Amino acid sequence: MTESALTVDNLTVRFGGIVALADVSLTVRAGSRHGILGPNGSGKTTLFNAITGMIMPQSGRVLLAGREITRLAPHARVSLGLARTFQITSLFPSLTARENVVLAALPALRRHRGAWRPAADREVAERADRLLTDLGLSHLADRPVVSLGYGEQRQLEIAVALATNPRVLLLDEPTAGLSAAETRTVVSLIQRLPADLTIVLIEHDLGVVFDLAEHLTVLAHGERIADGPARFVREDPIVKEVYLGG
Amino acid sequence: MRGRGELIVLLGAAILACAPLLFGVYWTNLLTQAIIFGGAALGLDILVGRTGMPSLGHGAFFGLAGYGVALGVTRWSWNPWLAAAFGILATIAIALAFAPLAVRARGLTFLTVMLAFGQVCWGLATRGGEFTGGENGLPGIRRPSLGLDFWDLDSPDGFYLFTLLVATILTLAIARLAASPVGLSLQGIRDNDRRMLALGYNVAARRVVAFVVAAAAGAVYGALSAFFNGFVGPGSLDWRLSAQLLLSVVIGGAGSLWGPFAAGGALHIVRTYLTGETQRWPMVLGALYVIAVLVLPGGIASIGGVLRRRWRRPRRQAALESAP
Repeated sequence: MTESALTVDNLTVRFGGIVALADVSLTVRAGSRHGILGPNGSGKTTLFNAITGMIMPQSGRVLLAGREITRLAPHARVSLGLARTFQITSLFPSLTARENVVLAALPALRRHRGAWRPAADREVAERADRLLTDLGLSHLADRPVVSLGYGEQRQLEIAVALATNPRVLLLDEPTAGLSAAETRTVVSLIQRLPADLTIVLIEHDLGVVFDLAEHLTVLAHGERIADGPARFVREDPIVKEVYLGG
Repeated sequence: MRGRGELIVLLGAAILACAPLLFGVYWTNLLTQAIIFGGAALGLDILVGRTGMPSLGHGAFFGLAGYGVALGVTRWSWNPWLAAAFGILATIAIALAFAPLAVRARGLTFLTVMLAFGQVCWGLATRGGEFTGGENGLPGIRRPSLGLDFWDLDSPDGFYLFTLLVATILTLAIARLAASPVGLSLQGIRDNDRRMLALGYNVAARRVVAFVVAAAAGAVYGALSAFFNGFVGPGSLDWRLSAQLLLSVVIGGAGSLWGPFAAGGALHIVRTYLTGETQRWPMVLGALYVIAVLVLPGGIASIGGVLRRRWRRPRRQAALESAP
């Protein structure tokens, strides 16, 4: 059995009377590419929100590399190596791409305090530029985010998440709203990410999911209806009926 | 990059330092006040422009420090330096005590909370009886002495240069803060405070820092103003002063630091001219504000970028048209 980077154990989230997640469990192996599939309203983003601490579950546990993080504040999870991107782009619009990455990198480097030294000293600036170069975004470094195209913003979102130096990266619909060409760019960007980085990805585009994920968990109405290697889940009759449309 | 910013501040200061050689007493005094109001607007920009918290009560810190100075010098017969330290530190302490409460509010609510704070200070000053001098204020504030034969703070030129020196040091410090991790995080908070929280920044504490830095700058200039006038009155706590400072930030270009400084200084000079001619200064201020928002939404600081685009557009157009 390989080491588990992220474990979700019987997680239940209710909003009033509505059950958003019912007893969902899943295990993400370290270094794997794990896809979360499910129709709209099946609880995928709720699952991410509970994993990252944006909402608190009613019951169940979340473990990051074996350590329980169920009740930790969001930023404490970030410093333990958990990063996410958002379905709706969540950047700092008036700042440049580089400044966005620097802001995300500073807490991970324990350099976010201090009012008397430059934020982007040589080490931080070099790190930010290296990250942007690795992702093929260096030409955007000095452009304010508002001036970037939507596809560029989605790529920068991944760069900002990576700047926190995560071991587990959660991507919430990284290609939503992108053109076919932009989708290919983002998919190849995700494929080039370091192999030891664990990636969990919510995605609607089945082509993207089967390109990227080797392991799939399928949700419907807040319940896990299938879980396993991508090629098996794809052939699962229940999945075909609920999600792939029979 | 940062070195260049510091160089520009020093260059500006050097040019302003020549003013007494060129102008008479009237303009030297006017420029002294322009620097005071410009500097206060620059300090306020940390809160309004950088952190995104519009305050309509910033004049309170300006006035409180002035009253602190006046009470020290006139009521308790302190050395003016001691009175200045007292006025500034007491104002910072009040800001520090009030900040945790104030920064819980956002946007318009924050603006209104600060307006109320300013009005309370104004009320206390006007109803303070003999202690605060009531409506009449406190006259007879002696200026401090540097103990230097060639630098007399009682002379217009001497006080002008002293004000310029203080403003230069304060501006360099604020520019340094703005480029620091804390300064960058303030812009992040303005743009997306929830994301900053998720990244591990203590957003509330950073808002307090911005609040207190802006208040401290206001206090320093308030003390300078008290020494310059030799007098403080409820006018220094009037909400219209707060409005003028806030509009200086907007007209100058929120977040740009130098824009609010220029606008703050220019507005004071315009006001001085207009109050001689008409009672309708607030109306003119309002009109200037409307024009600025319509013509230059990014404020004076955006003028370079706007002109550059204007200049480039026809050329690109021409290039497109000449292409086959």
